[in-house]
Amino acid sequence: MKSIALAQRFLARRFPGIVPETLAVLLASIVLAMLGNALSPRGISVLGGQWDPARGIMHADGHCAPRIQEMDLTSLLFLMEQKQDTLVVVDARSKEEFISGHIPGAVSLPLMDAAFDLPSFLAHHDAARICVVYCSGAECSDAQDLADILREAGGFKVFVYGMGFSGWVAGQRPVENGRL
Amino acid sequence: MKALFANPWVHLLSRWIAGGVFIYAAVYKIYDPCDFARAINGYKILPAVFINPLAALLPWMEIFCGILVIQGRFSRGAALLLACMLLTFMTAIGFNLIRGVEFECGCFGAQRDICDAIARSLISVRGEVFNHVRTGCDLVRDALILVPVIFVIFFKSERRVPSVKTGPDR
Repeated sequence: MKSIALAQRFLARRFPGIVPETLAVLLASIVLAMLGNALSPRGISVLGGQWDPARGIMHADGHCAPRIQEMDLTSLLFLMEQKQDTLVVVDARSKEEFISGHIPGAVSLPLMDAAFDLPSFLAHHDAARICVVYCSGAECSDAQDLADILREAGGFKVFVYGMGFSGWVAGQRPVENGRL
Repeated sequence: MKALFANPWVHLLSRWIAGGVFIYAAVYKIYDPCDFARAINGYKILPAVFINPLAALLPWMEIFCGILVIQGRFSRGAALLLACMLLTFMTAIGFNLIRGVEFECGCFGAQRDICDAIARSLISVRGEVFNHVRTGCDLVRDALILVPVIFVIFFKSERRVPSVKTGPDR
């Protein structure tokens, strides 16, 4: 508190009137932000429907619904069992993380490398029709971002496994490692 | 240096640069606050309860302060707020750089910005080094933006936009 008072005294002496001016601008900004956000069709919920990392990074409220449909572990396992020939599971994490452990049968396509590796990925998986992307867990957004890129590339029906690799491990499923 | 801080043309240029950058940065965040909220969440610093209020507040504050700085009304107060915001962003970016958290800056919305392009051109293999280069570039870019903001705060006296016909006030 003493340092704040000191800073206020310094500002008042060095820049007369700047403290009340700053407070006035701050207050006006808050009012404008609340009004603008409330009136904007893309505004987000400020106090209700808060961000919920436990449900995945995309779940803040209705306005922030996932861009790509998410699936749970049961649906992923069902797809892996039933659609082996047409399904490709894509790991959006870094190559190092992939090597240290990944979902069995998954293919590494780190989001950072997507722009470079996408053509060879598409050439190698031209038979695939369904693509499920995952990243490290519910709090990462790489899977959604990579799924966006894959959807734009076309040819796939794209889903995101929202709980990611940590959800796979928590579900006590087998892990493969050491292969790119 | 004193002459530089008293030069109305430098003041005018600083106001336009500082205000313009923040208005540009705010537009996409206002258009898609969800993406900005995801970016704030990606920093892994704030508890969930603060993410949406900040995602709603910061872009409007940036655009409002940017307009005030360009217009020259309450420009010092607005510039001080912009400086506080920049220092906070730089602290958050530096904190994550030190602890090695991979994140999207979100500074100019979800679009890939100049630092991403620079890192891509320098480092062909993505990974930890790439992230460090990109994050370091984010820090340098914010420091460069801080320069005109500081000029606006330290300018000797409040002046209106100089007229094209009459030139800057003396």
